[in-house]
This record gives sequence, C-alpha cells and structure tokens, in this order.
Amino acid sequence: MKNLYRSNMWRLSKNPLFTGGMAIAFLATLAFTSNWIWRTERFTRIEHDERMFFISVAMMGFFTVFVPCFTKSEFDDGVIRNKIVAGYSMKQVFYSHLLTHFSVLVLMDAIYLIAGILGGARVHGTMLLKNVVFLFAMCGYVSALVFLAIRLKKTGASFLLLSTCYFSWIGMNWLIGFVLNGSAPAIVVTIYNVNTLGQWYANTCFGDGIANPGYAAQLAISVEVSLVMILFSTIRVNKSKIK
Amino acid sequence: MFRNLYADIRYILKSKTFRWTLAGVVFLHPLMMLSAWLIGSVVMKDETWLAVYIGYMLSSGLPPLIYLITVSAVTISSYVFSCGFIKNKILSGASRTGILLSAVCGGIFQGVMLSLLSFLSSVAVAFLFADGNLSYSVPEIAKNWIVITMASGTVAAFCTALVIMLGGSDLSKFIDFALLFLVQIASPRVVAQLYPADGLCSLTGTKLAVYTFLDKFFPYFYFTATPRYPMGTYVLGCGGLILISAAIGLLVFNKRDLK
Repeated sequence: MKNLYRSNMWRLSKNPLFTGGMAIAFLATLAFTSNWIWRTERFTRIEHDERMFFISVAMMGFFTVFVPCFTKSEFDDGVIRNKIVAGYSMKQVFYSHLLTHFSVLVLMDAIYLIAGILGGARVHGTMLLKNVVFLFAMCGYVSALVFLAIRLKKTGASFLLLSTCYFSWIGMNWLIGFVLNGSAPAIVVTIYNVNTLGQWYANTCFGDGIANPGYAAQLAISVEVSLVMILFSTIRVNKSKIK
Repeated sequence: MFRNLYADIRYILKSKTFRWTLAGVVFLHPLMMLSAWLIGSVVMKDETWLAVYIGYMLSSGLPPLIYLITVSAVTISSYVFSCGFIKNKILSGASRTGILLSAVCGGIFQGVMLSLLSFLSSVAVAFLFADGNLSYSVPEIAKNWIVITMASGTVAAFCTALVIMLGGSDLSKFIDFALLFLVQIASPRVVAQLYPADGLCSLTGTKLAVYTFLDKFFPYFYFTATPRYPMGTYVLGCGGLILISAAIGLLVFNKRDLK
C-alpha cells in the first residue's frame, strides 16, 4: 500500500495537469483575493478573506477534470493491471488512489491558503475553520469522483456529478427561499449540506444563515459522505474486471 | 451513405442507452411537473405560481432534456467507436464522408426523438396539473417546442460529430459535458442581462454583440427561455452549427488514423 501510494505520487509529479492546476490555483486565488480581477460592485465590497473563500469553489472544477483523467490514464496505460499482476489487490489500489487524490487536495488547499494570504486575506480562527470544513466537504466530493472513476470507469460522469451538485444546490436555495419562506427543517438543512456546493455557499458571506447547521455538523456530514462513498467503492471491488 | 444511416438508426433504436434516455424523458418531466403541482397546490397553495411554473417547464426545454440528449449522443457514438463498428464499416468499403454524415444524421434522429417524446409526455401532464390557469397559448407552446426540437437535434448532431472527430477519446466526452455545464451556468445570466426584469438592457459594445450572437445563433441557449426571434433565426442557428460540425468533422475525420 505504501509503495502503491509512493508510485502514484511519483507519477503525479510528472503529470502536467497536476502542475498546471497548482499554478492556476495559486494565480487565480492571488488575483481574485487581491481584487485584481472580477472587480464587480458585489465583490469589491467584501473583505479579502471572504473573497479568498469564495474562489475556493474552483477546486471542484479542477478535481472534476483531474480525478477521472488521472485514474483513466492509469487504467488505459496498464498501470493498474500491472499492479494487480504484481500481487496487489484492487482494494489496495483503490485506497492508494483515494489517498493520492486526498494528498493533491491538501496540497492544493495549502497553495490556495498561501496565495490568499499573499493576496491580503487576514488569518483568523473563523477563516481557518471555514477552510478546514470546506476541505472535508471536498474530501466527500473527491471520494464520489474516485468511485465514478474506479468502479464505473466513466469519465464523462464526473461532469454529470458536478451538474447534479449545481442544479440540486440551485433547487435547494429556491426551496428554502421561496417555498419554505426562509425556514428550513433539519432534514432540508442536512440534504443541503450533503452537497459540497451547499456547504461552501452556507459559509460564504452571501449564504443564508438558516442553511448552516454549524461547523461540527458540517464536518460530521462530510465524513459520513466520504465513508459512504468509500463503502460503495470497496464492495466487491476485488472481483471487478480489469482489461 | 443510406446503408450506413439505416445501420446507425437500427443500432440506435436497439441501444440500451437510447431506451433508458427515452424512459428518462418520458417519466422525468411528468415527475417534475407532479412535484411542482404538489409544491404549488399543497405546500404554497398558490395557483398562479403553479400555472407560471408549469408553463415555464412546458415552454422551455428543461435542463434534464439537454442532459439526456448529450448522454445518449456521446455514449452511443463513443461505443460505436470503441467496439470497432467504424473500422468495420471502412473495411467493408464505406467512405469516411458517408460514415460521418450518417453518424451526424443519427445524432439528429436521437435529439428529435427524445425531444418529441418529452413534449408528448409533458404536455399531457401540464394541462392536467395547471388546472386551466396556464399562462401560455397553444401556438406559443407549439412554436417553443418546434425550436426546442430543432435545437435538440442540433446538440445531438454536434456531440456526435465531436466524438467521431476526436476518435471517441475521453477528451471529446469532456468537451461535450464541460460545454454543456458551462452553458447551463452561463445562459441564465446572459439572458438576464440581455432582458432585465426591470428597466432596459445596460450592455454595450463587444459584450452586447457576443451575448446577442449567443442568444440568437447558439442552439444550446435555445433551451433557456421562450423564443424571442423569428423562426428563420433559429433555423439559421441550428443549420449553421450542424453544417460547421459536419464540415470540421469531415476535414478531421478524413485525415485521421484509426487504430
């Protein structure tokens, strides 16, 4: 397992999508946080740390492309088949991939934080806590993407997942705002926060306070989502066919 | 070409993906209208809202339709590539031009079929649930669905041409789905800026020209709201995209090495 993880990280270091993504994450966060781009009235009025948190959602876009591309290339190049032939189980391969993607997520989050701080964001407890909560929410999203890439082997499905997240988030906002008239029962808040976009928006300065169940509840929801996705991914994974 | 087209349409009709997407459009839209009816009449108790919302769902293309069309066109055309059907057709003497054009026609067929079935299933339920308060007239709804049917065929043809052009690679699927997602996010904003709910449009210069062009001639935007231009504009937009995708597809596919 340790060797699998190390080999994944070694191949990752040579992946242009990974290095390009990190560079774009740094530049985009720096430019957006420090007010160089997107200078609309709505965004120029808010604090730098709020701007920094707002741009963090772009990570969802990056992972929607990166996770299926990296995993599919491992299947297509025969890397995963070679690992199975070498005696590793499919479950070990899955865990090593999941850990690799989590490492990329943590690395990207660190780069985003550095760029944000360089761009003028204030470092304080709430800001750090919000980012930790979003990091866990992203772990849930990445677990779902790894499930799609390894179990279903469908690359286009990642965009369908992103679209589902987006439209369900729009729908839930509409439900809370117009149908429930600003009140939200616990079940609606929970469903809203299962979605990574929901957790992100609830923590931005534009978010509706009633959709935010608190940091502890959000963390618990994210951990549960990740565990459920890992469970779905590992059920009978050792019997899946490799071409 | 016609033998290819016959084979393609026969394959599409027998394809599981196409049957599942057909089932999706037949059941999904009535299901959405049923939920709208439940929310409007049971939770909100507001019949005007219900009529407007069901009218909107009936007259605009609804996001699920364009997604199902893209999924069907991309999955079927990439499967055709990966299973070697294209290679077999070339070995049997069919020309590359004929193969691409028949695939594009197959795409149009998928889009039109899905759109028409979606219309038939949703129109019956809409009149039932709107309870006589529907805010659109029958000719308006008919015009909307003619535009949406043309746009559906065009979107499916474009997706198919892109997959064939790029050799059924993952890149083609990414481009199809990423374009769809980006347009779904951008189109409501573009329409809202071009036709603000209060006051006049404040856009000027290049931004106005680009937004107007997209709204007028880009079929992905036809699913966003009710038609605002003469029918000729929509025919030009749909025909233009089909011609461009077929022409570029022919240029690329004729020079491509098939593995």
